[in-house]
Amino acid sequence: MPNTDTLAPSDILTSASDELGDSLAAVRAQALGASGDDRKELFALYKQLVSRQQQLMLRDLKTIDKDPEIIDAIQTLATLTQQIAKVRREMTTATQAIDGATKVMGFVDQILGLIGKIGLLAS
Amino acid sequence: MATKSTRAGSVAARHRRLDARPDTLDFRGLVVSGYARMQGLRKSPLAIVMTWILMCSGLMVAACTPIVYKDDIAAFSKGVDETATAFDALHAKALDKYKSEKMAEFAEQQAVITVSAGCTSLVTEGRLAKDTRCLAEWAAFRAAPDGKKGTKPACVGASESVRGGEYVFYDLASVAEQEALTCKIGVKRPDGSIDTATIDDSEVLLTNAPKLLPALKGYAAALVGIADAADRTALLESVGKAKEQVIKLGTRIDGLDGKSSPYVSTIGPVSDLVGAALVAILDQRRYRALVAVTSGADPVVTKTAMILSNVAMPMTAIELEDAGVAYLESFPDPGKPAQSEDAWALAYAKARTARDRYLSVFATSPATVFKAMADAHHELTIALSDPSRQYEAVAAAIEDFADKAKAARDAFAKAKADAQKEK
Repeated sequence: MPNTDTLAPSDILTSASDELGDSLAAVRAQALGASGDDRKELFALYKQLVSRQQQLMLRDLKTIDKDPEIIDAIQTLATLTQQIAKVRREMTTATQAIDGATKVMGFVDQILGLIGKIGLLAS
Repeated sequence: MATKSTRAGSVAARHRRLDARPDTLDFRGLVVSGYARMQGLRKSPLAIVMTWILMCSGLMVAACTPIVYKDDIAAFSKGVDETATAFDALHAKALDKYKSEKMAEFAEQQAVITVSAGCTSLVTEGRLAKDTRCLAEWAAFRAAPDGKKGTKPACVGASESVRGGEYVFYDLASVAEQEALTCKIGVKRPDGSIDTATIDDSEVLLTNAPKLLPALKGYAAALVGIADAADRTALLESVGKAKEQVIKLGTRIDGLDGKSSPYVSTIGPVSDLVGAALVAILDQRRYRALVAVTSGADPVVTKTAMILSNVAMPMTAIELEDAGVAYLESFPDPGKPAQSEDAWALAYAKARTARDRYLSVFATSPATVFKAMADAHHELTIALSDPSRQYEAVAAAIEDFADKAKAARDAFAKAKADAQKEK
């Protein structure tokens, strides 16, 4: 079975869509004015045409989704997010550095306390 | 000369004013005054340090903070969440529709659903079966008593990882990956080969556009993070703890020789000032980054919202087509008009309900949500370019710096006086 979903909108598809549009308008008008079985048949035909139209629209939607601008926008947003995150990290890095330095100062304080206790600096 | 003396007189007058109102000293005045008072202390290294700290602090008061834009950022973030919810809902409905259309198409074409004949062979007669045999052969080899072990198992067809008889973790993940490819569902082509791409395609409607949503969410989360006060609070806490430790250590070092210096008391106030300057510098960098990034991002966010809006439109249109058919079908057969008032009222109510349902699709379309998100981001960039928004934050920073600088100056002056007394 040929995979027609990979086709890009072409003149043929555009033309098919236009012709389908004309048919939809004609069948809709007839269905609304018809009576009895004719009405049922015309509405069934109308639904089939709508379904075809939806298939073409879904195909167009897939093509819209392949717009390279979408990928560009995703990449730009990711870059901007990283820039913000980098600046945000500065403050957490500073906090970590201060915490580290505080810990070291604590050790130095303890060592000096011990040295003082055993009287190494007294002489 | 006249100009010089006038300027000198003006400075002197300013100093007099500042000296007369020490408690209401403004920060700039404090720096000038502090600097003037320290002229006589030039030889002291601490005085030079103090002077520099005060001068630098003067620059720091210009620091702006991103925290004041928290609400504007929250509005944008909410817009992003609403956009994602609306788009995801629409996408889910469109995907259901797409799948059902594809199934109908396969059925209409009488396509035969099938799978490769090689599927599951890996388990029944392929690698897993051969590896199991190999593991058993090695177990038997090891179980045999010495002298009766014979030759080592050859493990023909078994995978390399088990062939040598060494214990390793069996890698089922790679097997699963391979089998997932072999066992792909497909439709039979007229030549007997299997087309799996058509089935894959029937499972996915949009690939790229939905990726815009996590990109937007990530960006919004980064903005929320930069304006969050939590990081600032954590830094201030760390600065406070460091100050305590510096004072403790300074006092201990000072006491090592048995003599106490009056300058030890200046450590605390100077630490406060340095800590406040550090927070202000980092806040200022965050603010600058926020301004730069959001102004650069504004056209991107707007374009992203427009792309989402354009992708959402056909999905809404498909929903509208279905509701539109139901609306037209709700009208009674014109050949069989309603015969009574009640029947007519019923026919009208039925048509009215279907009409409401049809029009409600327009009303629930997320088109406005996309625009609202872009507008919220644009409002944020406008707020960032409005200096009055920073007024309170800057005023608070000036007050804070002024208090800390004054405390440092007072501590230093007291220490100097104490040192002179000791002499």
